[in-house]
Amino acid sequence: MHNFKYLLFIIAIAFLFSCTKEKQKNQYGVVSKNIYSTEISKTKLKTEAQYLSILNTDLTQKPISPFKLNRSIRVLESFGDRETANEIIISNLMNDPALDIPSNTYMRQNLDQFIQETYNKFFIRNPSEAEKEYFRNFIESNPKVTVEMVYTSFASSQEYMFY
Amino acid sequence: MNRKKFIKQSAILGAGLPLSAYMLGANSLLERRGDEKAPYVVFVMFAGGVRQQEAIEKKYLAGSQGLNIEGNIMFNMLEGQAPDQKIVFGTTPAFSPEGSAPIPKLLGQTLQKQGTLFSEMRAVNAGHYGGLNSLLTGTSAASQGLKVRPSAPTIFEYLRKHAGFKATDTWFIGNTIANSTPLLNCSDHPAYGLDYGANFFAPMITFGTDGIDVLSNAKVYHPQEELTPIYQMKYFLDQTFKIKTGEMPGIRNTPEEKNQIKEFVRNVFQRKDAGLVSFPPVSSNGDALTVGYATEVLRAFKPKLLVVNMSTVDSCHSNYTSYLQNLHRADHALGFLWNYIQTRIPEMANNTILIAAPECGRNTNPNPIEDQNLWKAFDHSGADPNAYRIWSMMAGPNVPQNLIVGSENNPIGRATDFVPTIADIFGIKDIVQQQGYLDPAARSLFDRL
Repeated sequence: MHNFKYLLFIIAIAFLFSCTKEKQKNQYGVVSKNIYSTEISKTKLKTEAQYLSILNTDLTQKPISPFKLNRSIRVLESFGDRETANEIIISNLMNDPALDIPSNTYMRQNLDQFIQETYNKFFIRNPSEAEKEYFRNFIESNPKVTVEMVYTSFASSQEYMFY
Repeated sequence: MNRKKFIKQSAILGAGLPLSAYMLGANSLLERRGDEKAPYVVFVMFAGGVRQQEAIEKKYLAGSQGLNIEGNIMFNMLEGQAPDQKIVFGTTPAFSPEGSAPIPKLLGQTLQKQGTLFSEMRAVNAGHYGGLNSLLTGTSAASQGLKVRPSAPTIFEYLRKHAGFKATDTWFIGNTIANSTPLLNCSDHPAYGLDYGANFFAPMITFGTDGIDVLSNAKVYHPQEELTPIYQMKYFLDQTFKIKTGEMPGIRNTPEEKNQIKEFVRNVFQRKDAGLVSFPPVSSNGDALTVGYATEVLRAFKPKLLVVNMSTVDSCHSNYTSYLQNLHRADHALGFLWNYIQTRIPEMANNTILIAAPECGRNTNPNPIEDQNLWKAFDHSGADPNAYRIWSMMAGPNVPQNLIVGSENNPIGRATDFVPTIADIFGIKDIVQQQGYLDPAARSLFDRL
């Protein structure tokens, strides 16, 4: 009888530690994926505030202050030719000590990467092969073209005014 | 059809098709312009709401405050003695009562003597935006909403489309960016619109503290070495994006005009720093400063049409003394502007027709608000016929001198007359009228003489 109790105890313990059906575990992680496409799908015009705040961030890597943003909006409204006003504001930013753009050496030594990054930065999309080809040829065949000039053309372009 | 006839008709058709295509495609080339009365027009919207009593009638306090003191406070525009009591409209010398020193007359001869005064005209709208719309579109603007562009074409668009003016040939200088003022440089009419709009500045903003912070440090790129490649790249980008016409905000200038505007902006900041911008001798309000910057535009661009807007007399809603001061200063600014054109811009001197007119009048009876002199203020409302009483002044080539047209009992002219008048000066009156958008009662003021 005593041995039987032992036997029962051992069997009970054995059940406790016996094999069980393994539950399926989901594992999650982050995998780098490039979400930019080459498609141009912008249809909405940026407001003055959107345009100016994005422009400031793209050229200085810092957000524009509300005070400066308000002033810039008022100046845009005081101009009949919005494109010309934009170009003056851009060139004013190009003289700003806070300007933070790649060097011309970087552009020349990493041209494909520079073109890709510039499209990503300003247009939130990848360049098409034709666009890459155009800028590669244009920059290579015009040694005096600077990053500032490329950035000015992107920042004053019509696509940059839309989202 | 025999062979000979077939060949003949084919030849006629062959010659006719390109010709008709040319005629349809180049419509404006076939629009015959009449004789030009002057190569330049400056139109001053003497706006904000001016009571006939203090202007044309020269009643001063007799027409408003029940005091028996009459007199003219618009020395440059109108003939007539100034009031000799309770002078409040001038400047304030030290230790003297407020406004006790009238601003001396700038012009040797009043505009009334130099040109034609339409002393009693009718506004078609008693509000500011509707009134300004009527001055610039020649329509009653009865259904015109605020914060939207005029629904009918403006005089700028008529001139650019039918007279072939460049964007920099037409300028609208606004005294503010408030009250939808920046929208008045063109309509949203589908046949006209931004492609034919005028350049616009609100110089108190563009060249004021806002502009200094945002624009004054701008680079001016070398046209060939820098701007050309920038525009080449931008052109490529814009061609790729391909937006539809009308989706972009703002009017269009050619690259050359854009460069000219950038140079102008840079120059104005430099000239301002050097104290070279000419302002009226008394520049104590926004109208005077706006007119000062307008002279910079005239000097630099010599536009065929420049319209400048004033509005400080609208302080009359709450302060009658301030209204008198601003009316006196508006006259001073107008005199300065005319003097500047005649003495400082040789191309425009003796070649410019000046037109000035308010957009609406003000009420007969005051509101209850009293100012520092216990004088009552005046609003302008659609129910009061006095708010529709306006006037206009014209001077320059082909304008009869020392002529007064109309009277209180015989009003002649409407606020909608200025579009056909300016179109008449540039020889496109018939073309503009044929478009069918003008107030049917609108006439060129030259046809009302």
